[in-house]
Parts: sequence; C-alpha cells; structure tokens
Amino acid sequence: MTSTTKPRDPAASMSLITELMTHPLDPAYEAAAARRERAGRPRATGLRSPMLLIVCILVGVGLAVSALALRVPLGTAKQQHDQLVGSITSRQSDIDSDTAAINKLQKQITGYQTQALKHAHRAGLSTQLSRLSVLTGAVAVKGPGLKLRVDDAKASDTDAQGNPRTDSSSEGRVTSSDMQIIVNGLWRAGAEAISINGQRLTAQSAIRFAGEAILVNFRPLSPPYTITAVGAGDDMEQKFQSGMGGIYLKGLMDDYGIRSSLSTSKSVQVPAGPAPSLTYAEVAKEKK
Amino acid sequence: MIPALGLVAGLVIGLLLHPDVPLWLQPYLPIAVVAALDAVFGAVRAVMDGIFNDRVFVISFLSNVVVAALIVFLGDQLGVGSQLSTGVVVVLGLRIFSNMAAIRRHLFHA
Repeated sequence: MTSTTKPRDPAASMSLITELMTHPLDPAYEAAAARRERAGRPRATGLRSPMLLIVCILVGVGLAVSALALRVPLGTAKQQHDQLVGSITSRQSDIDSDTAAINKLQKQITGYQTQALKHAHRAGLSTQLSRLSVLTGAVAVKGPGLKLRVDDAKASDTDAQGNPRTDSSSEGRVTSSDMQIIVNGLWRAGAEAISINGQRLTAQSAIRFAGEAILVNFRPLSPPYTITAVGAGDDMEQKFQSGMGGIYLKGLMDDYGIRSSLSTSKSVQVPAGPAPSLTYAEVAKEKK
Repeated sequence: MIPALGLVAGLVIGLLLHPDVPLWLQPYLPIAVVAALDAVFGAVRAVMDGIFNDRVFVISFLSNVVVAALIVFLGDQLGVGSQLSTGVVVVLGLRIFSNMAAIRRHLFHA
C-alpha cells in the first residue's frame, strides 16, 4: 500500500485488548466534538433531541422484552427435578412393597410345599429343597458370620449439589471392582451367603457400575456399604484377612483412605434374593 | 434526565405489553441487548466527558445492534455461533466495564 510515514508498531494488530481498555469510548464522539468545536458550537449536544428519546425507549423495550423472553423461570428446573426425584422414589417404594409381597407369597408357597412334601412322606426331598433354596438365595438365611462395613474416603464426599459428576475427588470412592474383589475374597474365605446393603448375591447377581453408583441386583446402593456374610465366623474372618480380598482392602485403606470395619457375629441374617424367573432354562435330561 | 425517563418508559412498556418474540429472533436478543448496553454506557460516559452527541449515539446504537446480530447470524451459518457470541460478549463486556470505570471516576472521583 502506501509507504508509511511513521514506523508502525509491530504489535499494533495485537493490541486489541489494550485498545479496548484504554479507549473504550466510541472515537466518533471525540471526532464529532472536535468538529462542533471548530464550527464554534459547544462540544456536546443537548439531551433533548426526540431521536434520543426514541432510541432510549427502544433500548428500554428491548431490555424488558429480552428479559421476559429469555429468562428461564428460576423454579421450573428445580420443580421438574423434584418431580422426577419424587416419581423415582415413589416407583422405588412401589418396587419395595411389591418385593415384600412377593417374598411373603414365596414364604407361603415354601410353607405349603414343605407341608405337601411332609404329607407325601418325602422328607428327603424337603431337605434337598431347603438346601437348594439356601444355595440359590431364594430364602433368607441366618447363622454365624461377619459384617464388613466399607465406606468412601472422607475427602470424596459429593459436592454441595450432591452431583458426583461435578465432583473431581473420586479417588477415594469405592468402585464396583473393589466391591467385586472384596466379595470374591469373602466367597473364597468360605462365605455361604452374602448380601450387600440388604441385596442378596445370587447366581444371577452382578455388581456393576452405573455412573458413580454401585448396582447390585440392578438396585443402586449408596455408601456406606455393609456386606453381610454367613460363614464360619472367626475362621472366615482370618481367611479373608489373609486372603486376596483382605489384602486388597487393606491396600485401599492405606492408599486411598477408604474406611472399613469388620466385625464377626454369632448370628447374622442375609435376606432372600430377588426371585429368579426362569423363562427359557429347563432341566437338561441326563444321559443314561 | 429525559433519556433516563425514556429508558424507564420503554422498560414499563415492554413489561406491560409483553410481546411474543418470534423464535427466529431469539438467538439475536442477548447479543443485541449487550450491544445496546454498550452503546448506552458509552453515551453516559460521553455525557460525563462533555462530548455527547446524539447523532453519534443513535448511529452507534443501531450499528452495534446490527453488527452484533450479523455476527451471530454469520456464526450460526458457519457453525461457530456460540463461540462468536462469546467473543462479542467478551469484547463488549470489556468496553462496558472500562466505560463504567470512567463513569465511576466522574461520579465519585474514585
């Protein structure tokens, strides 16, 4: 272009922010004032021009309209959230009451079953049945055992909104794989029935992760997690502590601050699991 | 005084009439409002500096709003609407704040 008379500041094109901060006022004002001064009139015009009034009214209308149009009513989101939470809780309690009803009916069925078998003088079948139902988790069991309480590390509490997603300190949180290793350790230590927070582990149970929550039997659990295991009390505890599960748990406690406490008890109770519904599987005939 | 009264009158009119904003106009509203605010704060500062000019104000207001809307429109067409909007808000916000600082100096000498 034209040869410049003054050497240009090499950083001139990058001084946008500086320019903005030092000369925020439209340069046209200054220019217009200078022009008016040269013409011998006062630098500033009055504030009484009708155009100014119209523009001011326009600005006011624009502000009001956009505020009205764009504002998301404060309560709406919370209302919807509460509604959803409410419906979740009500469904959950529906499920709970249905489960309780099912369990009650199941108990009745079991009672009738034993009665019928007794009438038919087939006590062997009856004991086999009860043994199998203990193994499959169809009935609640009790016996000596231990209770293991596992809780997230202190620092890993969810944030103020209780939203685990925005919470960065997930290091000290018990994960589903931790739970799996601990539970496997308990099985290896000779546990005969295990439940986590009242959810019986059966052959169809899975310990899974959904987001940040641990799911057992497809029900989300919240910490602290209480693992109840029926087995040979102190012996099982020793085996667990010296086994893989116990060592892993100790590592979690030492490295991540996960809290846990273990206590043995003469009698612990493990509830029945969800009734497994078999639709397709049937007993295979053994070849003779 | 009169412009301030006009602003209040406009606010009241807007609140009372409560007109429905067509959907296609809604993306432009926030940027246009910020641009308008920038023009208004610039005008207030010019008044304090004693160099206010109604013509300059009206033109700067209109051009601000039009350019802001244009930028948003262009950004939407190019798929970078939100980024461009952010840029506009940052630039105009900076201007509003530094004009505000000048107004504050005039008013409170601080």
